[in-house]
Amino acid sequence: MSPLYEKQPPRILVCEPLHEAGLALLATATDVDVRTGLSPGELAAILPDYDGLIVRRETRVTAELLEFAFRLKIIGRAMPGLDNIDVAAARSKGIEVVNAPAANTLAVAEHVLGLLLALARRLPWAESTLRQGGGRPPQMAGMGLYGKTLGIVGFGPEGRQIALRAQAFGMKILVNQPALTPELALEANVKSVDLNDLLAQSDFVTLHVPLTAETESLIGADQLARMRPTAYLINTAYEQLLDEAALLQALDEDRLAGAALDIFTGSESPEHPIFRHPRIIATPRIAGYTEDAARDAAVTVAEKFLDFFATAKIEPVLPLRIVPTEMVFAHELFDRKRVESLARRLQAAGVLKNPPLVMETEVGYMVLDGATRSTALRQLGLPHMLVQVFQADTEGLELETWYHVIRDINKEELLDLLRALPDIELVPTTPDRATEAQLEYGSLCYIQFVGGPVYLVHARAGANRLDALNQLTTTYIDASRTSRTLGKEMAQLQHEYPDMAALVVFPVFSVEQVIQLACAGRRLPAGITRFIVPGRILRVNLDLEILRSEGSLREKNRWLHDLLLEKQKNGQIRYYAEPVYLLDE
Amino acid sequence: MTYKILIADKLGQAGLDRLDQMADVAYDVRTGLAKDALLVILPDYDAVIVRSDTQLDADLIAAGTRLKVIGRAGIGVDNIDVAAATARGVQVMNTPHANSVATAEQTMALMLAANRHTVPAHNSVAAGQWERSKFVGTELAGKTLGIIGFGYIGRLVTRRAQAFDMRVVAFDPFVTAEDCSVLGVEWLALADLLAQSDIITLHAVVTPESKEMINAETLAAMKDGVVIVNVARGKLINEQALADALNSGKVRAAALDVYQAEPPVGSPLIGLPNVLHTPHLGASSREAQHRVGIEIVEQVADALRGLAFRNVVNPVKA
Repeated sequence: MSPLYEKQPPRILVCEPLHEAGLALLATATDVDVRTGLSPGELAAILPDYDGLIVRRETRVTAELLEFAFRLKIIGRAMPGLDNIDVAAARSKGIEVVNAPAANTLAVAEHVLGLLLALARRLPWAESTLRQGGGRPPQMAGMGLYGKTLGIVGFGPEGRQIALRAQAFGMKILVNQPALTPELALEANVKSVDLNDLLAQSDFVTLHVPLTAETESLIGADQLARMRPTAYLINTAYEQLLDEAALLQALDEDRLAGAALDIFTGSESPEHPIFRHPRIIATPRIAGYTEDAARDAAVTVAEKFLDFFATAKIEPVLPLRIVPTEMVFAHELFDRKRVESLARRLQAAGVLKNPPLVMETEVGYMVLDGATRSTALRQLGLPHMLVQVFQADTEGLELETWYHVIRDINKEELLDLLRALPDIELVPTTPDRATEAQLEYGSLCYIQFVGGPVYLVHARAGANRLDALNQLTTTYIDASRTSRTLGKEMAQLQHEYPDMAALVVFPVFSVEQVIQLACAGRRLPAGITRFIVPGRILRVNLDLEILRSEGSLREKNRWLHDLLLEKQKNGQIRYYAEPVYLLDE
Repeated sequence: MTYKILIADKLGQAGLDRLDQMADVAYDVRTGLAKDALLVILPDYDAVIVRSDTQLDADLIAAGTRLKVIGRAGIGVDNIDVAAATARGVQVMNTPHANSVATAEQTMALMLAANRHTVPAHNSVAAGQWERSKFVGTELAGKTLGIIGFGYIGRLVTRRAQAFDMRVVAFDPFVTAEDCSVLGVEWLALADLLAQSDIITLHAVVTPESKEMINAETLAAMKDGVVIVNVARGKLINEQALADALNSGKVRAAALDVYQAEPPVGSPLIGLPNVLHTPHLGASSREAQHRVGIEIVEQVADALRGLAFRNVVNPVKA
């Protein structure tokens, strides 16, 4: 057991049915009590005895309940989502909240394919004809999937798993995902189109967007009218995405061939027309409901509990943490020149002023801000690194794009260098067309030369787009001085950088895209992404010797915790709500 | 000269349209005839095209005195007495690949539906119930799929199952381990396949060796809670033994598109709660019917004209 808890193992209350694999894992290092079916009052009465609480979807963990949770350090929801937990109340009391965000992704992807095939092959109706003693009925011939088009609205983890499976059936995939980068679309071998085109061109349409103000009633009468009369619609996400009355009308008027719904508003009333509609396959919200998903969720949450109690990640004061250096990874390539000069300066100063900002992912800590610093720290051979962990999901996190000013290089020399690159192709355009053309033709970026031509940069046919983009940026970064800028006014930039040769303007990426690429081991070019977060922690001034020392992670984190408590007590932590502008080291 | 073809089972419209374009062919569509009626009219025809419903036995083949070609729109020829046809010099041909994709898709449809209780869940909703806890499913990801009979359809199923992150193993006495391994499939002896598979799907033809290969003995050798899918041939399964295994829970679920007798009146499998039934629709996608219809009429016409003999299943000299 950990030294922090060596006197007695932490006590965990499991108050909803949890898969036995999770219980077995918890039992290896904690005292587990399973008490299901407790009333809110009973739960409030016993909760003060526990260090950890595990729920699924039924238990409501409210601020009032947490009033009594004097010992509670961690709450786990053994499912994706957190909607029955008052996360803000928990965090304000320093209670960690964890869940199993990916546990039912595969279950949903498989059920969507199952529904798609069940619609195509008319399974429920084929089955009932046979059970009623009939032979092969007329009009029972199904529809083949090979060569058909599947439209996926919302291309997150579920959408990607669905695309992979549907592609094995020889289906073409269209996706609608705002700001999907050409790189990601190409990697997944899908075509990104707007929603109207997706609806008009697909034989099957399946919805996988989160429920937000923008996506509520995403598919209404107008959208259904754009679909082919032979097409099928599948919804396993949220009933609010779909105008059900409009769907029923479209089906009854033969403007749509059928639908499969795993969730629908009528689920509480057996009289709802969706229940018995001859062209709807309705399942009772079972898309994510498999034994495998329940086991994965239980094991994931149990592992997070064990990890929590074993490494004692203590962040009641500030979200600062000392973590193993090898668990920190970048989402972008680094500029070798900047890293080397910073490593020298860090070594000379002996302190880390501002910790890199990271986000915790399934594969480690992804650096949001401070790629140069974290790479420099790694080059210094430090086993541990101090990081600020951005805690929420991607909410509150904004991403802007830096443009690159290429300086200190002859224009002709630069152009020759770029023309020689095997993976890219330069297509002339004009300054006023460049932004629009970049969007329309899916260019990697465009380059505007001072007083001269503008080129769209395309990946050559067959080249990987991200590799091509990296080839381009690495080449000019190595051959010139590169500065980052947010503006693209040439006159102003020339004034600011008299030795400017050209400006490179990149398209906008989304936070999710960057995370997906980075977790897959891919890297964006250096110095394009600019993450903006509220609550950046600065001026920590941590002695590098603490990171370098022999001590364990636990000891170092304990020390950090005491230091922050001390500073808090002395009023030495000041909070600014404004975003901070930080000049590069 | 005009060749006369009898279309004895329902054939896709695309096939009939193609026949209409052939100047040297006349045809009649006479489906659902009893044996007596067929005996009377068969002597008028040079060729007969069937699917799986019409049973062309030795009597009928003997009665077809002008008969030169029997075309099977589909794969399995167990409704045709091929030996009798061979003895009388009648060429039997099928369309082995035209509906393979449809069959592979139906296999995946049944596998997914059986693992997720899709049909009973739908029926429960249709009956006004909301019983989520009855329908906890099982995922395909990470499970082992055993394919018995690793021909063209088995390979199409493999590609799809691998996209679901399944481990695929296969048993086929006519296929080498090397043929399997290039596709990422492990060749196993039948006993090993039975012992290791979470889901078993049949894609074998009916031979004396494979007839009722799913029986009390082989069922006992399977994993507890196995799922069995059959879109190939009903005769591969001893239905009483499978029904017993379904009732005992040894077999968690079965998804069946084919039966010993069709329609399967009186089969012990009908009505069991853990059986998903479809009425022999494996090949019946519209696209497949389209292709099967066109391919069989072109093959039969070319054979009658002596131009080409494609997909012949018996050794008759033209």
